[in-house]
Amino acid sequence: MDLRNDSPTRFLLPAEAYRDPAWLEREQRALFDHTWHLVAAVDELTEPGSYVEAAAGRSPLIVVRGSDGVIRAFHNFCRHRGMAVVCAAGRTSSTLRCPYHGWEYGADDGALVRVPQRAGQFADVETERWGLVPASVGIWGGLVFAHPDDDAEPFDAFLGEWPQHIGSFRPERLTQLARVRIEGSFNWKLFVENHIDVLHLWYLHDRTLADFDHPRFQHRNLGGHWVSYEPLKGGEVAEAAITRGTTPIAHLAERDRTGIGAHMLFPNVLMASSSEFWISYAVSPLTPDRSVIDLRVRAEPGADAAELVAAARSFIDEDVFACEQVQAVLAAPRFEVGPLAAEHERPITTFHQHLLAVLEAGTVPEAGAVPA
Amino acid sequence: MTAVDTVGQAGSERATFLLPKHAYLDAGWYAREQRELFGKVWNLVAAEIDLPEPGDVLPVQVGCHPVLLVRGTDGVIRGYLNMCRHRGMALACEAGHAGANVRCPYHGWEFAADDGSLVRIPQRSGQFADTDPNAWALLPVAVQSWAGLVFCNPDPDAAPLEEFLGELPQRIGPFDPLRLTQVARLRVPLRCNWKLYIENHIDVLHLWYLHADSLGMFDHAGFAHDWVGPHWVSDEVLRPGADRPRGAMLPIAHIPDEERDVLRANLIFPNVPTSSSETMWITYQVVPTGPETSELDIRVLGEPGSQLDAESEATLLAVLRDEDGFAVEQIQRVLRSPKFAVGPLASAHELPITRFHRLLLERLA
Repeated sequence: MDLRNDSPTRFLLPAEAYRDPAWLEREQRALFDHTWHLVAAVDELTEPGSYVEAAAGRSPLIVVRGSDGVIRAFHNFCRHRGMAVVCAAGRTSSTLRCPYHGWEYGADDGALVRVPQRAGQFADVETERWGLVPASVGIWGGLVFAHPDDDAEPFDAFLGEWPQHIGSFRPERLTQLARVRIEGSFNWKLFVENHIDVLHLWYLHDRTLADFDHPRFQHRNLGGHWVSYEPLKGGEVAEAAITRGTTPIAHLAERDRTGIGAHMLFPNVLMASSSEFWISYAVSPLTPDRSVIDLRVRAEPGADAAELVAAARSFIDEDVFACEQVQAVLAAPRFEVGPLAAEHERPITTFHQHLLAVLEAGTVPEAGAVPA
Repeated sequence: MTAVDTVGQAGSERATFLLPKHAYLDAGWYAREQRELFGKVWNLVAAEIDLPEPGDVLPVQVGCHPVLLVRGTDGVIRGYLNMCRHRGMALACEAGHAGANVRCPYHGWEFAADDGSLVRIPQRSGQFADTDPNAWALLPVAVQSWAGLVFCNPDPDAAPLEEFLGELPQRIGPFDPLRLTQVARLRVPLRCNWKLYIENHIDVLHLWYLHADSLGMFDHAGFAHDWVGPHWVSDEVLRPGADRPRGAMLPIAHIPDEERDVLRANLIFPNVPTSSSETMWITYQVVPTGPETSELDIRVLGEPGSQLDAESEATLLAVLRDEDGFAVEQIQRVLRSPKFAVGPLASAHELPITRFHRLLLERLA
C-alpha cells in the first residue's frame, strides 16, 4: 500500500448527509457551484459552431466550439428573463438565439448582438452589459470540464499531479464510442464512496472482477483526487471478463494492457481504464436520494461500442445495486455505520475530510474530530 | 387601450421586475400567498355544470381553506367550510349528491344544504342533551357565479364578486359563455411557480418569437391591451389574407362577424387566464400546487354540438403547454443558478408584468 495517513479510518458523515435536502443545498452552494464538472467530450463538439447543453451543479451551461475552434462555456440563460437559450445539442452558423423573445448572442464570445424591437422597447439598454454570463472551460483527455465561475481556480491547478499517475493512457487519442445516462435511487456520495472502496472488489464484484489480483491493488490520494491500479492475476488478457482484448488500445504500455485502473477527480468525476477502454462516469445529485451517472466510453475507433458498454455496466450495475440498497436502509432511524476497513476503506475518510473542508470552508479536519 | 406602437413607457411607470427570486422558490412566500392573496380574493373553483342538480356537492380547495360547494334545493350554489362542527371531519371528500341535507360520515350529523343549519344529531337526547344546534351550523364561505363560472372568496369581509369583476364582463368581447357548452377539460402539470405562467401570459413581446409559427397569422403590431381594475384584457386580429388554424370545431353562432378574426387574451386576477376565438372560449387557470409547481386547469367552451377534435386540441396544447409551459419551466429550472438575475424588460410590451407585481405586493404587504 502506497497510502499513509495517520488519522484512523472512520466514517465521518452523518446519515442526514445522505437524505436531508438542507445538506444537498449546502453541497450545491459550497461545493458544486465552485468546482470543475465533467460536461462534454470533444467528440460531441467537432464542428465550429456546434454546442451542447450540460448542467454544472445548479448552473445549466452551454458548451460551444467557436468559429475559431476554441471550446467555451456560458451560463445557459437569456439575460432578459432567464429562458434557456439552447434546449438541445445543435450547431449554429453564427449566433445563439433565445426562442422566447429572439435575443441573439455571439457563439464565440456570448456578446448580445441582437435585441428585436430594440428601438421601441429597449431604447436605453446598453447591450454590452447583457452578454451571456461566461463560465470556465478546461480540457483533458478528450473530456471537457467546466466551472460555473469565470474566475475559477485554474484547471491545471485543479488537476495537479493527477494526470501523471494514471499510467500510459492518453484518452485524447481515443474516440468516444458511447454515452449512457443511468439514473438511480441513491445519494451521489454513496456511489463515490463505493468507487474508492477497495474492499468490495473481492465480494460485490466476485464474478465481474475476479480476474484481477486484489491483494496487489495499489492506490493513493492526491489531495482530494484518487488513483489506483491492479494487475491481472495471470492468464490471458483476452480471457478476462472485462478485458476481452478484441480491440486493445494501441498506445498502452505492458502494465496497462494487463491491469485495470480506477480514478477519481474530487468530488464526483469517476474514471476507470482497461486494456480496451477509458471510461468516465460523473455522478451528479438530482435529489438527496436520486442521482444520475453520465457514462462516456472512449476506445479505439471501430471497437465494439455495445460490448464495451456491457463490460463497463457489468460492474457499474453491481455498484448501483449496492448503493440503492444502502440508500433504502438509510431512512431507518436506527441506521448507523460501523467500523471501516483500516486501509481498504481509508479513501472514504479522506473523501469525507475534503468534503467537510469545503462545506465548512475551514481546514481539513482530522478523522477523530467530530464535525460541527 | 394601450396600442402596441406606443414608444417608451405608458404613463410614468417603468417596466421593472419587482419580485425577488425567492418569491418563486420559497415555502414561506408560498404560504403567505395562500393566506393573504388566495385567501382573500375571488378564486375560480368550479363551473356551474360541475354541480348540475340540486343536492349536488363538490369539495374544493381554496388556498388554505377546504370548501364544500353545495347546490341547494332552491338551485343556488353555496359554499361552507368543508368541516363538520363536531370534530372537524370533512363532510365530503369527492363530488357527489347529498340531497336536502349534507350528512357527515363520522358521527352522522346532518346539515341543511340550503343554509348549513344543523338539523340532526344522532343520539342527541342521550349524548348531546345540552347542545344547542343553532350554535353549530356550518360556517359559510362566500360563493358567487359569473358566466357559468363559480368563484369563492374565503374572506368574511369580501366585497361581492360583481364589484371585484367591475367592468371586466363588458370588456372580454361579445361572448355569452352561458350559451356555450363545455367541450373539454384538460389538466396539464407544470414544473414552475404559478406566477411565471401569468407573467408569460401578459407579456406582449413573446408573441412574435416563441409563437412565431403557432400565432404568426395574427397582427401583433396591432395588439391592444388594457387593465380593468386588477384584471387585464387584450385583443389582436388576424393578418389580412391569413388563415387561422383550422380544426373541426363549430364556429360560435352568437358572435358578430367582425369578432370571427379576433384573438382575445385576458386575465381574471390573480390566476385565471382566459382566451377566445371564433370557435372557443377558454379559461386556463394556473393552480398553485407548491412553490415550484402548478397545474394548468383548462376548460374549453364551444358552440353546443361542437367537439374538441384532435387537431384543435393539439393546436391549443402546442401554444399553452409546449411553447408557454416549456418556456416557463426552463426559467424555473434556472432560478437556482447562483448567476441568474432578471435583466431589462421591454418598456411597453412587458409593462403588464410590473403592474401584476404591484398588484401582488399590495396584497402581500
